[in-house]
Amino acid sequence: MSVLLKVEGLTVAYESNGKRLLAVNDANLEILQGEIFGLAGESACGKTTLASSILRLIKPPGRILKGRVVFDGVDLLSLDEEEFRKIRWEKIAYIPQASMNALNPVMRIYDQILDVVEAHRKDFSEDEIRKRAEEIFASVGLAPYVLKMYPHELSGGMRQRVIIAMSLILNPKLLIADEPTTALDVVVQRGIIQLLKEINMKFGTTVLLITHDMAVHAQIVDRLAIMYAGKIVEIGPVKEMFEKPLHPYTQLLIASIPRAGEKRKLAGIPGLPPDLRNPPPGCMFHPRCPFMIQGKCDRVEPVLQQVAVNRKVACHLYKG
Amino acid sequence: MSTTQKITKMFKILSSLRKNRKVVFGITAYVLALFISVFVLLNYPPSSKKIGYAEPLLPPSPEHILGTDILGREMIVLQAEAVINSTIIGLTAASIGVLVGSLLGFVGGYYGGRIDYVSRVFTDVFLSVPSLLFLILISSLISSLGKQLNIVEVGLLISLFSWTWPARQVRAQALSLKERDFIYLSEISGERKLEIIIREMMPHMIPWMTASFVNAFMTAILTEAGLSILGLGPQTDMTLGMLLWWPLNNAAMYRGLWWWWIFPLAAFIYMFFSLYIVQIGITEIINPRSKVV
Amino acid sequence: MSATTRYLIERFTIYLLTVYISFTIVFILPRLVPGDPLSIYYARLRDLGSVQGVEEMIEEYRKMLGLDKDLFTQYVSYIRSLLRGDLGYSIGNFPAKVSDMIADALPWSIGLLSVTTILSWLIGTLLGAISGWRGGRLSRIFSIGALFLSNLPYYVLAIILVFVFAYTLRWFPSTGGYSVGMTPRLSLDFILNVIWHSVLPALSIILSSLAWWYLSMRSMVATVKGEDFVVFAEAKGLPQKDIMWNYGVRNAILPQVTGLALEMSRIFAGALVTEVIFGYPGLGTLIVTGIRTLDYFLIQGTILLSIFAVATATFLVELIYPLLDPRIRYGGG
Repeated sequence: MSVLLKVEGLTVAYESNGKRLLAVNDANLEILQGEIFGLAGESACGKTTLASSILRLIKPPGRILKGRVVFDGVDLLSLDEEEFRKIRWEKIAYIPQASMNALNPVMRIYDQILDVVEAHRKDFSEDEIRKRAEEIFASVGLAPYVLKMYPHELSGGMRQRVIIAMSLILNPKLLIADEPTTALDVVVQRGIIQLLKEINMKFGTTVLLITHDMAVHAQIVDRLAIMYAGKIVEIGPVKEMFEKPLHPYTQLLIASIPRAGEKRKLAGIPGLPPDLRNPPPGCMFHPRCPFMIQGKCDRVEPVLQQVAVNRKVACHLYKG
Repeated sequence: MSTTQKITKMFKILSSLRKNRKVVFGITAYVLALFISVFVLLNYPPSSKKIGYAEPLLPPSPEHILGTDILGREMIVLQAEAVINSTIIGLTAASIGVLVGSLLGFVGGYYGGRIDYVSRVFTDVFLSVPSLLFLILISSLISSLGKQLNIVEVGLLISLFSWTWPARQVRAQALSLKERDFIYLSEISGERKLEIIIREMMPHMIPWMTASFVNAFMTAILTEAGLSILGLGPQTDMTLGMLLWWPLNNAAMYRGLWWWWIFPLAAFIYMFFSLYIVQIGITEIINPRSKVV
Repeated sequence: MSATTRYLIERFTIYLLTVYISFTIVFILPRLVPGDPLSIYYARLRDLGSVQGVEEMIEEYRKMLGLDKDLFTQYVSYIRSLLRGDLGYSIGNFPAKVSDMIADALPWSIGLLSVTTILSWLIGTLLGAISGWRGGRLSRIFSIGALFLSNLPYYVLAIILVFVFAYTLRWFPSTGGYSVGMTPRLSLDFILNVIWHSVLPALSIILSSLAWWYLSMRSMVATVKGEDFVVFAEAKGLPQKDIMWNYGVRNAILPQVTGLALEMSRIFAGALVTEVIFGYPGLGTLIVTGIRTLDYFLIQGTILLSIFAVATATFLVELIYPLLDPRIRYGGG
């Protein structure tokens, strides 16, 4: 399988009052064509910033300091505004966090679909657009009358589906879904997850699924990357990651998933994520790590290295 | 919050006021004008305010720094008086406005229910009627009865409407504060309601009340000027508005009597803007995102 | 009942209530004074010695005000005459009727106010939208200037404009609605003359008003720019122009319209005083005439009409809102 998206050394900083913090710190990952790639980690670990960088939606006081985002052989960060605008949505679509607020309150749903299609393709006729919209709506479980409505007339779950449908309208190669299941009840959650799986299987759309919910990753993701304090700490196929997590943080994350039928104390992860304005020396995770090696983990930053076929980890416990 | 923490918070608010350049600049400018006015009044005889003190309509000269008006009064003394009188009007209207308004707004926001409904409707009605028109009506009623208003009475008159905006602001604040966690904590920890109001909620409302105060002060000065220009000002006293009424009513501009209107206009703009700058500054402190410059 | 109907009924009720309560307060005010509100006037008139016709006039008033009857009957006849459009007689210009005098002045005020308000709102909003969206140094420079102008009272600007353009440069007249000696008629000559006389009064209002609307729209747009749906519009790859107009302006304009409705009273009051500075033959000058001659009925009548006019204008603006905001139009969700 070929590599669709390759992130190389991406570093994104936020600057305020003279202080700088690195929301994404030297991130490296590859997403293969046709797979569902998961990105996991606690809130504020940099997942959304990473996604926003791919879409060049980072606004001041945030800034992309360095790195490359290579999509289909082209470094997205090097394109000019107009060239990149064409790639948006047609090639890479985005389902943002809290997407209930992503719809324009004063425009009808159909008009919001129409404008994105017209922004990219002049060759579709009105009829064709309407037909396609109705088809896609049907595939996400929305009736055609929804097209005529305004966002405030729809429930949160319905709006989520509208956004998902909208994201498919131009048949993008890559779909980035940021926390698509948060703020929805469990039943609706399941539907969304199924939907994403279907989209991937039916249309071959590559999906980058971002969520802190490990259970969701377990269900549909092919390969998984774990992020902590702006750094990618482990990457691997999901089954292996769950069966044999390498990075101590991954181990704790997986252990913290409550499992039905098991009577166990709920285990959280002790400690708090680091203050990125004053990051700890050495490994970002070492203050909370049960396997911390004195003198090494608190001095030297581990680098993301290949330790087995398809497995990368950034930890001093393993040798590359 | 412990007492020390609260006092520290007060100091922080005061120091943030001090650090904001606009607030400092505006207040300094205003107070400077006040000082100069007091200085002038102390150094001129009270007769300089009386009719016939000097020759009328004299242009500025070493003897009469800002010239004299049509009644032979010393312009600089009139200006000084105007500044002080307008300040009194502003202070009166703003103080009453903020006190009454805050009380009303707070009671409504905090207690909610029917009390809130009534006070809100009451406030909204007063907000939607054109206040200047009513003040014109009341003033003309008073003058057709032959009564002349003095400075404080003008202030009281204006305060009939100056409470509406503070009431709205404080009510909004009370509403949002009521729901906050630290208030709930205080309630269950057994603090009495009055204590909670004074010790926990007040520090948060002070910035808003201050902003309302400055706003009411500014509005009072504008309203007084409007009334005076229309001819409803306190005829026997001198205010910033009256200072403009005299030249306007006597075609000062066309008669070439420039000192009679330029200095009053400049003084008015000066006083008004110093307050305006303070207001912008306070708004910036409360809502840092509203910075324009 | 649809959401729009509910909204309209609510606004209409408030409109009626405001007018009604204001009119009632105007009724009560002179009666708070001990004695006949006209007693001072009678005394003054008698002092002046113009006995001729004075007694008839006083009787006319007493009958009209029903001062011989009880308070409630007086109130009822007051409301009745208002509904008929009868605002009484002018004391200073007896037997001229107040409503006639107002009818002469009203078109001037309405003309001046509507043109200046609409122009300054439209242009200010447009400039504010572009400035708020694009940002940049020019936008900041304009904004500083706007900050200065927006809170300057119209009459202060009026005085300055008169000095510069009327007195010094003599480009425009400084007083009046039309030149002395011209008779009002529907001719190009007259219309041009009227416009020439209106320029300075209009500018006094427009310059300040425009700055105000500019600043307020600018800040609305800046706020909307940070909203989720705008970021999403960008992610959709829409061109900037589309995003600015369909996502930014279309949402930011809503509070801007509300703001217009709320500012009506203030704008009207400012325009009144400005008219006085220019001797412009509108309601402002009429009120001052009433004040000068202590013509209480003239003042009262003008104010009653003004309250009605402002409330009506506010209501009309509020009617626009459902057209722009589907959440009001359709409710629910």
